[in-house]
Amino acid sequence: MTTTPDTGATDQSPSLWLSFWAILRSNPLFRYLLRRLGLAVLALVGVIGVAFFLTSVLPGNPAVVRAGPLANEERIERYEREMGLDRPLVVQFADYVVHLAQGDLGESWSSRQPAQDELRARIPATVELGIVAFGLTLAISLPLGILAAVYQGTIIDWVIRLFATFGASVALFWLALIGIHLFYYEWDIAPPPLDRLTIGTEEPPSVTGLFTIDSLLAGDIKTCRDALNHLWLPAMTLALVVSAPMTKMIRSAMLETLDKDFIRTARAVGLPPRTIILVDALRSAFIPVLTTSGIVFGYLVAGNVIVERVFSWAGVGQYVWQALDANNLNAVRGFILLIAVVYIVLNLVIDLLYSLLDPRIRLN
Amino acid sequence: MKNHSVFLIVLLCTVLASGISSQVVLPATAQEEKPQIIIAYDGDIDHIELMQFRSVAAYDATANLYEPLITQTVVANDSGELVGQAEFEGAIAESWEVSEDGTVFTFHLRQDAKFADGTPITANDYKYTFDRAITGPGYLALLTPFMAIDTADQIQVIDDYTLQITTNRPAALTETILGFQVFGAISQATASANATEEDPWAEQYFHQNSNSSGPYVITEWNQGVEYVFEPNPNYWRGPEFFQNSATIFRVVPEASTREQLLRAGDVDVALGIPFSSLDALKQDSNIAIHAIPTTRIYHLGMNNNVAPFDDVRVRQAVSMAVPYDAIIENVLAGYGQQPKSPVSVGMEGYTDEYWSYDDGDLEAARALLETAGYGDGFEIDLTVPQEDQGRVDAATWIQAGLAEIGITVNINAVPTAQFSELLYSHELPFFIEQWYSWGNDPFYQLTFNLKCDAFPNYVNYCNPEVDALIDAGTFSRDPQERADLIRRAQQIIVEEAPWAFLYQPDLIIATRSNVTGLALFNDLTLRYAYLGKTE
Repeated sequence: MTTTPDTGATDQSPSLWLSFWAILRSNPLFRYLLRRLGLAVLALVGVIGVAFFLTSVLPGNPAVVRAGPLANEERIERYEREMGLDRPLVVQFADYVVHLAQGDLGESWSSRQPAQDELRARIPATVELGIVAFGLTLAISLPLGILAAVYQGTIIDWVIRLFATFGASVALFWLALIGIHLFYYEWDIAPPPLDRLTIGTEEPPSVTGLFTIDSLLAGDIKTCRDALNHLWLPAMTLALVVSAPMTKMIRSAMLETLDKDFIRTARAVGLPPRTIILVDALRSAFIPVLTTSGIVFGYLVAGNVIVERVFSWAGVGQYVWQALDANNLNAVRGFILLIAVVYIVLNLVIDLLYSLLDPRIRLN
Repeated sequence: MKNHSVFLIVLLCTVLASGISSQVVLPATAQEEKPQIIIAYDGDIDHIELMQFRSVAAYDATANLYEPLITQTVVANDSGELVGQAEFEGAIAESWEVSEDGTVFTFHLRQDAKFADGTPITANDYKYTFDRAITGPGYLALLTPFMAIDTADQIQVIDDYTLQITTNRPAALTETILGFQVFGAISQATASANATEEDPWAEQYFHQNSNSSGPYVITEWNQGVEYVFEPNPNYWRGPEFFQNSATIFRVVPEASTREQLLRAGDVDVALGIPFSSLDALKQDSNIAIHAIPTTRIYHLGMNNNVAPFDDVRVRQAVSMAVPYDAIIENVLAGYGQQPKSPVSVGMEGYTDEYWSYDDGDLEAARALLETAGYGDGFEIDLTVPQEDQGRVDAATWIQAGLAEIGITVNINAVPTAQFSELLYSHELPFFIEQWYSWGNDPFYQLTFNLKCDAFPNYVNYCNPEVDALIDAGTFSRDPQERADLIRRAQQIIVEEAPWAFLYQPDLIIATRSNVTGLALFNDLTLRYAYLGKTE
């Protein structure tokens, strides 16, 4: 064997690695991250399996859908062969996983384009709407929640709680239609509910896919304004509905902290009320708020079928709706994976933020 | 009352005015002066591969991208709609001859016709298109038998501008089917430039590209959002043919949104407006509702192989107890008609003379069930696709109607994909299905739906005499003979009642009232070039 020098080298590098490893291992943040990443991978593997097999047992045969009304047995069998549906489910799954590992979600059976390209084209619309809606949600629910807690039991509290009840019980579909009717049709202060830009407006050169940011990067204020103009009404519709649970959450978290000993102490030493509420109380009330925010944000960027549909907003929500209808399984699976990744990443980020916000929470 | 009649007069005047203005088709002088037309579609285009697309919207798209050899002639009616006629005129074919026996068609192509890329359209391109249809991908091989074409050698190139089609025997539908856009010219050069070993017919390329032989080219493709159709600069009819400078296809999935966009004037045409909204929309003088009778036929299928529907008396009893008028009044808001035969109202040879299942004749229905041994009634599942609200609603009316004669109907609404799969099993006992015959031909309709071995014959109806009548009519070019054959076929089928014939809904196209040139061809696809606007 002529590999002696190599053996030497491989002998050396593990020891180097090991010492590096030892340093890393002593870092609690790194250990925590590693464990969480491991769990995330496990969760993802689980989701892939569930997504694949659950969609496979959906009623309906995709080959039949493709064959259409002039179908016959021979044609359906041919399409089953072409689409790989004639193979055992386990073989199909293995094939799916192999392609997935290469970043290939498979063909979208209705448009015959790669499903990952179609999802990629739709994600920015949903994410942009989700982020703006989330911003509006915080802008509405933070002040309302704090006010309701500070003025607990007064008319202010009562009005805010009424708003939260309204938001929790209103149908999103109805709210979206009323919004369009009033702001677009009656008062003409919202643009036509037709996707993200005015007809004939050139899309800004794609960097992030978010038109507001891309147009600013390109120095195109007019397109940015147009994009914002199209965003506010659907975002506001979503925000009104999700700010209801957020407001309630913030109110009760604030009430709980305002009752704590350290607040009483702060009051006793004569700190100004504003500082007490906005710095001390809010900071410790943030932990439960953060948890809810994570869920709400996930909900908003997962693509809201109803709002996207009513505003002709070509995001992932509408995409998966059409895909389900057409038995377009690869598209549906891709969507499920996307949502799983969003939630896994969000949970990770939130857990990390906990430790930053509250030193009492230890990473291990 | 008074207000109402004033409104009617205004409406009448508007309709008349729009009728007059569209008959005088003004040649537009400069491209810039022509308007843009924005159409709100209720569904997206899946893709535009001519021989495999499946979405309804893709019918419209391809009809504006591919030019067949011949096309239907159109004549303006009183409401300004351009209605397709039974006669055909040359499109890419300048003229054509048919042999005495009706089997040899010789087409002389225009020498100046070009594809969008400027290359000439020749007989070779049509030959390639037919080869692709008959031996390539897609479903067209199921259509060519109606022209008595089974193999690709029946299409021959005589020279660059002469194409000869020889059919196995005379067929009634040859011209009609040749006029479909799916037999429009595909550029052979473009196809071979984009073909690969795994993809010899360049399917992948044609999913989103066309090298158009028809009036438009797609200049912007934004799937799920917008498609911009601009006039094809090389189109053989020239720029003066176009009444608009561009047609913009917008995907607007929600019906209420389409309505508001039309009311506000941000779109010119809206498709898929629900019947229930029409009364309110009609109050708006800026909106014109075009309710176009179609031959799309909805029927209540009764599986002839499954008890109790294997007994003709049960099928007849059901046919008597269905509340037809109530369904049309309530489900279609009156926008539709009741077919009284398996041939749709408005189709060549339609007759209602054999119809004997008068609305509400419940005594007779009960008596029939009694003699069939179902005097105590029975219980049955009625399967409908849940996404089609019209069919779900019709099912509840049928449920109520059949309850009167002791039949307990359980409505089973399932997802569309599952509904198709159940239908295709040929075992579903009781369901509501619909059919639209592309060529508007009664024999075509019966061939697919009620011939013994036809795949879409989901009720498993089988009568050899009917089969013989259908075949004879399909391959006859003699109108009188065809009329006799279809009459006899209707007599037998109405009597044997494999279907209860439910309704034919109107096609609703809502436009701004200044929109002109709504053209209605046999295939019911929108031809954008005719659409214009008055001020």
